[in-house]
Amino acid sequence: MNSRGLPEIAIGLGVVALAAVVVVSTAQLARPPAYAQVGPAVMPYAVAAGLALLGSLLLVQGFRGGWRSAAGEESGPTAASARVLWLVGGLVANALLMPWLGFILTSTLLFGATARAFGSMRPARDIAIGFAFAFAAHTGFARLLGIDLGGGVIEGLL
Amino acid sequence: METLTQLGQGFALALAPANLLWAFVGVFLGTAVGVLPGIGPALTIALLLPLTFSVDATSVFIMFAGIYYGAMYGGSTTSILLNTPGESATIVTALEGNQMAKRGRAAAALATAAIGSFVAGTIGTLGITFLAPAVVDLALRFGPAEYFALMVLAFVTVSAVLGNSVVRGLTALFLGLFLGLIGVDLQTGQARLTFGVPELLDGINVIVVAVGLFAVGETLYLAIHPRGLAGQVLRVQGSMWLTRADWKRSWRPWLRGTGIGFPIGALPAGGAEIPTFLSYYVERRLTRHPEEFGKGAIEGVAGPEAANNASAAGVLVPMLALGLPTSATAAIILSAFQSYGISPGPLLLQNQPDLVWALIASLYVGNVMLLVLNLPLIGLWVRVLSIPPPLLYGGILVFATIGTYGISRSPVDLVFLYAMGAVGYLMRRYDFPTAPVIIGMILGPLAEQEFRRAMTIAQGDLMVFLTRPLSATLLALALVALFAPAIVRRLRR
Repeated sequence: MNSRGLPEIAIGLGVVALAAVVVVSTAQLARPPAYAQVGPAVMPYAVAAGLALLGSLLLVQGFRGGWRSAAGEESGPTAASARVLWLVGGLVANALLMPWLGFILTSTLLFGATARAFGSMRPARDIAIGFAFAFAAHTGFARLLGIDLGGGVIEGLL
Repeated sequence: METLTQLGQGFALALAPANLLWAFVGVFLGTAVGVLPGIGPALTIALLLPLTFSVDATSVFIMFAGIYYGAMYGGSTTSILLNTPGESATIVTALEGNQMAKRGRAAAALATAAIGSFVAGTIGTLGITFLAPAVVDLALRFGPAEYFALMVLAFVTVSAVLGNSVVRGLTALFLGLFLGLIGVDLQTGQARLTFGVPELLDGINVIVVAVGLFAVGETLYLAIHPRGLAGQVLRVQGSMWLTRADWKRSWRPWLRGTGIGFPIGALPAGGAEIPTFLSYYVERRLTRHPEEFGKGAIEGVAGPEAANNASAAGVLVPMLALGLPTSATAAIILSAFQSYGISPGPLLLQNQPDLVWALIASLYVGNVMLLVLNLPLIGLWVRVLSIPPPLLYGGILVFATIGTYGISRSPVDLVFLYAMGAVGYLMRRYDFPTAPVIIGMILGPLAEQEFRRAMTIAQGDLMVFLTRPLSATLLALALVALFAPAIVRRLRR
């Protein structure tokens, strides 16, 4: 077997697994009332059937060595894993810290981490711009559009 | 005549100072996101969906329409000056446009793109004005069976005909259908596919999916495969006024591009890639300067740019007349209608004539604004293009957070957002189209509703879809669209 098709095989398996999840979850639905010609389970089963078929086709393509598309060819070399870690770390920290630090501070951190992931080596500048940006966005959305982004450390001082 | 009276009333609304301002904000933002590589109108409108809670519907749709048209103008600037298409629909523009810029004719390329977009956008809007009411008259005779068949046809064309692979396109569509199913079934009140997570009872918000797939997914992709970032912004040289010779070589491609783009956009297939490629091909066949093609032929910019904008206008016909979105952007605009409790479809024009006609009138107004924004003010957009990527993507992710966290203030939604981002990265990396996910998610529940209605009327007889001639024809077309590409390919061998 060609190892080139491995990611494609994984994707095919993932799609088939999703179909299985849909079937299992739908099977737990209560019986539909008699007046409904088409109950709530019909569409999920149809979607699951489609996913199972498509996932199998992707699996077959994966076992044949996968598909190499224009997008795959041009995607180029993978960046240093440190950069990717900066980005993923920034995102995870954003979700974890949001309720504690508030929108402005966590967004500043996310901005700085993303800039680092894209190769910036000027953290002080990035943090300053990120803070100004998050502050302006928070004020703009909260005051002008009435979108509540919640409280936080900086938000409490305003 | 009635159309003109209503259009006049639409203009009265669209020209009110507040709405002019909304239109301006829309075209300005639209041009900006069109210029910036990696973000587009679908993402921008998704991020602005929370506006539907606080701002009057007419103003919001005027702004969304401005973003939609503006992005088409802005995309060409990026293609010409950076050779990295800002939008998939402007790939073709980069072919000749970037060559023109390299030969010191950037200004002429930008000018023919902007004027061509204006000509096509205006003719396309005229097309909407007169075609949409006619389509509505036809659609009012549709029953649920016909609607369901039409949606199936749209599903097949947006996922199987466009893009590189039928299987991958349909996988994306079914992922969208799956996401659309999550939540309480409106007919029976049963929770479907919620896996015991209370946040899922209301369904997954389309903002989370669109922003995750487009903004987070794209950012991840570019961080992991940084080659896509390389590129140098070419300087704008030459006069922004086209020479007599340029005008002579441009006006026919503009009109031909419009003629190609509008009908293809208006078909339930939608999409702007096919008409732009078609227009490029036609211009290369018809030109009197074949030696210039590949080295910066102005026809190769004028035609595809016009086709691009005309097809963008065409997509609005099924959107407004049938409630049938055929692009990711149209699908998100449709969800904005739902957010106002307005049901899109053929009754939209009857129930909300003020809204629809103000929207159409604002398209004319927006086109004029865009011509001004993209000719004398082009220097501004060149500056937007030179924002360094670290700051640009930092900003995009912060906006993505606002768009998601701002709706619910729930970190759970942020986790969904990043999960969708990871899916978006994988889809981009392994060449799955993302637009069918959004279309499936928004149109799926509507298709299910029509299916159940049709079955209730027919008392559970599936044959209803085949015994009604129109529905049978539409389903047959869907089958042809699904299998024809593979059969043609096999015959060619």
